[in-house]
Amino acid sequence: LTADGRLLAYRLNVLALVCMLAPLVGALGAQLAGDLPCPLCYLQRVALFAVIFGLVMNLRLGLRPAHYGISVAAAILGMAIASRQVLLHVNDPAGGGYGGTVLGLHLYTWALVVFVCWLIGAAVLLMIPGGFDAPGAPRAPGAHWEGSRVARWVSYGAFGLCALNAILAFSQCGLGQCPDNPTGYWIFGG
Amino acid sequence: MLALIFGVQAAGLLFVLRQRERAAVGCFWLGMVLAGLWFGHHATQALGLMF
Repeated sequence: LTADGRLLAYRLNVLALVCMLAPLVGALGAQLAGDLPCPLCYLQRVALFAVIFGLVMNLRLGLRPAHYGISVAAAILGMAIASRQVLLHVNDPAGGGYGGTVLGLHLYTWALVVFVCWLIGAAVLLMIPGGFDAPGAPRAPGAHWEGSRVARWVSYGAFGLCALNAILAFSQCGLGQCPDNPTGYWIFGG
Repeated sequence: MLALIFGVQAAGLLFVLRQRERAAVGCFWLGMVLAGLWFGHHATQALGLMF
């Protein structure tokens, strides 16, 4: 049961990582289509990458409660940021709010949904019997991908997406503050 | 500033992939603190407090 619980937890971590990367890829697609993100939108991406951080630690360094704690702390920060943006626009007239919508909800509302879902998911993952590595278990280099190519490539994809966001944020805002309603890229004089 | 936070996070993820746990955790918390300060700055600026 212990080995089964561990394998189940590992696979659910891979699934959670894919689910966390999906909105980031969608937001990147919207950005490349011309829907420039606001400062709070970027901060929600930061919180999503921080949640992903804990998941990649689980996949690479072993399944440990501390790694779930990292993801949960990040999700709480993300919830605060997304809630603030929802509350900023809660009284906007119909069709208002910032940016486009997906299935009738703005991206920051979806971000709030994702953070709440992850908190519930983390609670479930923490309750799986035998879902952790034994304390003090030796970690041989490369031993924690569990032979899963998906885990490896999705983790490297998360790193690449994070680096790409750093480049895009610098292109749009430089090292200063982003405008609340951006109209172009700072690097192109916008 | 946002580019710096993403950069710190990307470096942290790279440390995780290279199994440098202590450096990775340091980057994670640095990113969280910077993001929290930036969020606080944004929120208080809207209230006219200029944190």
